[in-house]
Amino acid sequence: MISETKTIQESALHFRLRWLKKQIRLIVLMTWRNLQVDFAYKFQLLVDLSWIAIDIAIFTIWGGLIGEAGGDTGLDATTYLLVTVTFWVWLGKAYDDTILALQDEASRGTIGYLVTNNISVNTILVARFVASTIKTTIVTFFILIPSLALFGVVDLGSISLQAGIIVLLSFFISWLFMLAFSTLVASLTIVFKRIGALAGMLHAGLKIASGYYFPLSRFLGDDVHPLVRGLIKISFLLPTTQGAEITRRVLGGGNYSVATLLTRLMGLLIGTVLMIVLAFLVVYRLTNLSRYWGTLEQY
Amino acid sequence: MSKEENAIIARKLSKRFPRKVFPRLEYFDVLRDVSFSIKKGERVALIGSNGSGKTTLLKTMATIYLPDSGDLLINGYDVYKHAEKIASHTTLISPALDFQKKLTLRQTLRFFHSIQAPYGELDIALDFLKRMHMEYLLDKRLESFSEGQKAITRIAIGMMKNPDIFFLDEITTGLDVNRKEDLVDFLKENISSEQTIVMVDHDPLIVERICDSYILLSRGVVVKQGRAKDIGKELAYKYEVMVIMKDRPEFDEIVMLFPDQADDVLIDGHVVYFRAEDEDELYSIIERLRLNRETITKYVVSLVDLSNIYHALKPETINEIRTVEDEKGLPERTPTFDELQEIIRLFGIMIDTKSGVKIPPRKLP
Repeated sequence: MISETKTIQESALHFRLRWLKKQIRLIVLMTWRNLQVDFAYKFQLLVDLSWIAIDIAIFTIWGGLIGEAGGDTGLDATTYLLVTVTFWVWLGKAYDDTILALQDEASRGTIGYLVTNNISVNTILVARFVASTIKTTIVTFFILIPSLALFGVVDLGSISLQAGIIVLLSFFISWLFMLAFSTLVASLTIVFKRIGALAGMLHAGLKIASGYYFPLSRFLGDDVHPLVRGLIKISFLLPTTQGAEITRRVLGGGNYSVATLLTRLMGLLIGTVLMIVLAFLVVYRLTNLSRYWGTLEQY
Repeated sequence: MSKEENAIIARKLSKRFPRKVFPRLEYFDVLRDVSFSIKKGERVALIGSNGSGKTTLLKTMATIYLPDSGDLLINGYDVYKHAEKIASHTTLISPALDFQKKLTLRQTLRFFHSIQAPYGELDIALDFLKRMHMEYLLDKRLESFSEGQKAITRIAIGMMKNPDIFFLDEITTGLDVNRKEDLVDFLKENISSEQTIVMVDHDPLIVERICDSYILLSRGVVVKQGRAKDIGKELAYKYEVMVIMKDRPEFDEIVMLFPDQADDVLIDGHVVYFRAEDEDELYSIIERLRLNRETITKYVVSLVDLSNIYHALKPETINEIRTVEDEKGLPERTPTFDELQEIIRLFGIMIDTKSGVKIPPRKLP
């Protein structure tokens, strides 16, 4: 009896592992297909690069106008904003591409082929996010961060091993959070079709909360309305704000202690786990609903 | 018959789509209480006018849609529980399905071959492309393909999966006459007797050559399921004579030239169809044709086949079978057999309770 139960448990585990292996293989194949398509649109790649260059120029000027980042950051506003821009260049493009992924596949008529070949909505979205991350990683880690280091905005040499590991972990967990968040928002497309405005609003909200446009810590003084102060404090709890804050403090050379970085990392991790669970439930429910309503191929 | 002998079993299958979501969810029915079974290796044509639910039924069987009620077993797998297994063993080929046009034909084939693993067979697709004289396009991007070439690519991908069941939706759309012929030959040669075909096509000649049975749908209801070889028993005539006239004829003109066949004629542009119940009537029609040979280009005599179901659909007969409608004209429920019989009587079709639907020859209005 015990050995029979053990055999059943082993075969269930074997089945799960085989399923996981298959899903990873499908994500890799879909990611490769997305990259093949992305690199076929060379003009678009050029536009993306130009957009980043414009962002850097604008935020350099804007940072100069603001002066100090404020709060306990110990950073000037230019460094604060440029490191935040780098953080969002890395994550934001993948979010934008993922939001459009289902609409793009449906409008081209490719989604039906994918679904009848066992590529799920989840796989399509995850593969899109991974492919875009690969593209933007090339831009951020090989072009943007070295450029910022060259101009003295980022001081890579001053980063300790511990802080380096924490910042890499925060990059990874922030990436997981945005992957889950993008999947959740993009999955709304299969039922509600045009969600561009909502997706843009949520993206802008996360960026503002993480200090993309201006350092929010400047608005925590006593002269600010208590409601605004409360909202800002809530925004500090968002996982992307935690991730951006760790990146700024470490890469920008601001004030930090390893203990505070670890506290932020823990907040980031909890928020990410919650988002993954929520995204999984929403995508599962909406995919089923779209199969009942026949909306999967519509756009 | 055991469950395993059937490739597809549908019992009281219904599918509806939302007409309006806000402020109140309202639906319209597309399939209602559809029941049928298809044996393994059978080649079935889904026949019906536009909007009768053929493509929805195909997509439901291909797991793109989920039924709202009823049972649907594909290869013994329940469509609600085992969609992934069903998708692995079936293929849907439809003009609504498309590809990433920036990829080449070779990249596209490799991609689908990889995701279809371990079932896909690349050689089948390559053989098919060679047969269709398209192997020289392997390294061209799909954006430069004509509609016909895209149609062939779709079929190549579907064939490559080497599935147990093919769901073919208008696969000949965009193909020229020669390629249609090549396609039919390829399908007949390469689809084994174990593989099942369920197809929708508006070209009766293609369907007639591929399929051996049919399911007749009207307004989401299965009106009739039968075998092609039994069509003669279902229809009130055995022979059809297709006559191509030199000039577009008027109905009165035909009545004057063929007075005995005035009630058994169907006119479609330059083409006139006569129907004969037996050999005597057939010879009488041919005699008339010989007498009037200066007015005709050619004529073809054939036994009734699946294409005659399409002709029967044409003069607003079966496609006018109405479902019971509410005061707003919206479909409310499936008609009872007696109601259906009355509707069909009104529209000029008789139902024989023993042998099923009988479609008498009739003239176009």
